Amino acid sequence: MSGTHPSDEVLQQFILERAACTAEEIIHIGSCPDCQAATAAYEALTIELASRPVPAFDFDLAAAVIAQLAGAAVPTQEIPRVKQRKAGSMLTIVLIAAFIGIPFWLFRRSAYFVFTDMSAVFYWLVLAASGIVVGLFLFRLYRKYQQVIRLIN
Amino acid sequence: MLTDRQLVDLVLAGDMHAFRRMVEMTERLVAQIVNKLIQIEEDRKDVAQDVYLKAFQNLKGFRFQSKLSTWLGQIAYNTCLNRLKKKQLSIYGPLERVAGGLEDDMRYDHFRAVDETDRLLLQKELKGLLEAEIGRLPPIYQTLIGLYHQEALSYQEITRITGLPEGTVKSYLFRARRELKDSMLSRYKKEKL
Repeated sequence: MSGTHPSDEVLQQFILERAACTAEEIIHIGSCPDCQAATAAYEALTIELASRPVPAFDFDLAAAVIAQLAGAAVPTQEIPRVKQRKAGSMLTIVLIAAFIGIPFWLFRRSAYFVFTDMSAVFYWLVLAASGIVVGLFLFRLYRKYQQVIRLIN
Repeated sequence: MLTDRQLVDLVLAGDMHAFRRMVEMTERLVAQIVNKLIQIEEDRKDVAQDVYLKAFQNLKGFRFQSKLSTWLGQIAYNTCLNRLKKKQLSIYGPLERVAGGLEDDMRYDHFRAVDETDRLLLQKELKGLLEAEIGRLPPIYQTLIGLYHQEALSYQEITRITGLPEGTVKSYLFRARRELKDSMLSRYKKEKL
């Protein structure tokens, strides 16, 4: 469409939500053969979209679900899986806490000196390492975002 | 005709006839979502059953803040997404652009015909082309087209089901319709030539 014609978005709006169009847009479309032809194309499309065959399942869904419920297969499948996952997470947390906490507790008297005797280089190294990890994480997130946007477009 | 609340109360009381009615009343919407998002036919049966098993298990938690069908649609959509995630598939397939665009002044020639017979013939031809073209759209676009145009759901309801912002829903629908219109006009032209 040329610059003077309303955009495709407006033409669709003209068919689907005419009240959202401005008076100028309505007047233009009403008097412009190109826009009328374009809106006719959209009108034909929306009519066809609404009259398409409705998707349906080719089996008795209600009977299948009721049979599963009657067999009580659902709770025995679902609940243990959730419980297992929760138990796994708890175990991981306990192991991490033990891995950090036990050495710290054993060497708690000398822990202060561990940090006081560290050189500035060490602190900068820790800081740089953390920065790199966070940076990589953000970069990965950004890449994923870009990927989704590219696919959408 | 039972209201959502009456139906839910009956199901919670253990009335399996009411549950059957609930499934029958809402399976069209669930099929609309499952059949569009899940491309593998064998998986659809599993996913559809999974949707209602989840609904049955969580029915007590339904707060009537939306229609029962919308809530089930939401479960269907999320169940499909989880299934696709497990299979490392995406709802955003590539949008195949129309090859060889048409000149602006040629594009709508067929729609300039005002004769009613021509219009009817055109509608018939469009019907044939449309199904093939819809099948080429990414699954999420197909789903939104079904929900908006066939189920006549509002943007708010679609937003609630999919969790997508309203602007995104509108934008996807706009793109899908533009893509369909362009590709159908292009194919129609090619077949006529």
